Amino acid sequence: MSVPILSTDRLILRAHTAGDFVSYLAERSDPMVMKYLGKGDLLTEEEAWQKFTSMPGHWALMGYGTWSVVEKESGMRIGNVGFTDKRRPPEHPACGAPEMGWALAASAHGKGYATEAVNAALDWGRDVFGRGARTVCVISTDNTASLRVAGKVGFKQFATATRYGLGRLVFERML
Amino acid sequence: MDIPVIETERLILRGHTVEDFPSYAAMWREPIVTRFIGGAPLSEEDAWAKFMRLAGHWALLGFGFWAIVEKSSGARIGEAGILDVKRDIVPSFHGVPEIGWGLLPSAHGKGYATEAVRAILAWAERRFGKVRMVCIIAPENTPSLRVAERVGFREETRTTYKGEPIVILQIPR
Repeated sequence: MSVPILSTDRLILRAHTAGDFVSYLAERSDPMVMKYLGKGDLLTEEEAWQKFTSMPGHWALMGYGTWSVVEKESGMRIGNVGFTDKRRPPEHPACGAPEMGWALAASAHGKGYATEAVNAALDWGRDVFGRGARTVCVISTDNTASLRVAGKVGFKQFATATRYGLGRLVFERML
Repeated sequence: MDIPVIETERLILRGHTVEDFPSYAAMWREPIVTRFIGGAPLSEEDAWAKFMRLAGHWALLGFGFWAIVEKSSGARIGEAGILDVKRDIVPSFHGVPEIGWGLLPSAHGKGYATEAVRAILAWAERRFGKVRMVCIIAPENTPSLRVAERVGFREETRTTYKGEPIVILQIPR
């Protein structure tokens, strides 16, 4: 499966490469980035590598997945965006639809990059999953920055969930 | 990345496809399998996350795990291959090819693991040259220790991994 390249005003979305792991690990060991992800714990190198290797695997097996987000101006990889099938259990409100997710390095926060990247990924998703197909996302109740991004790109909250004892809001959007 | 296919007398080793996931998840929820590898049975969601890594490892590094298929039945009976998983273990063996294997209980006791691992070691030697290779095995996992011994691994040291005792074995060079 060759991963498509998407280009926006300020960003390139492209496949993850082995060389991206250094910046991925830096993000996943930064409290600013991890505060609202998973349990909120920083990842060890081994844990980060597990998550990192799953991403190209998702493309290979499912034909869609997540991209590395690169800032055009600097050429730096600044985060991830894309769709994942997480095989959540049937009782989870986000079960059964491709799930949008994003995370950016702290230095790239506050510039509208997440919104730009998510919009590009959603456009791609519309072509691939079909107009009107449903996508979901799951965000920590306290993650105001990401909640704002979700609103800007047209996600509507429809359910709540709990993970590791922490509150989550569950959103959906028709492509 | 096209994953190579390896054929042995009784087995085919090939890349995993999404159709293999039910059999993969079945193996990883068997307590008899997971007691020695990972500790606890995996939920479908956790097994899926692990399954994704198999294909991603190949895509990123050009080596990884194969599905083991029994020729006589055509069934997927387990998995084996070469890993770089950056284990949080002392002594560290980052960058050293690590060999691993796991078979469904119904395929245990037939010499299949030995047959698969021998073929993988031969492939690994072509890929990496005659370099040191390692594997880690729980000390009470006698069947896997026997497989390791048969294919040429020797105990290097004993340590702990994720709070549990573990044996590091190597093929020294």
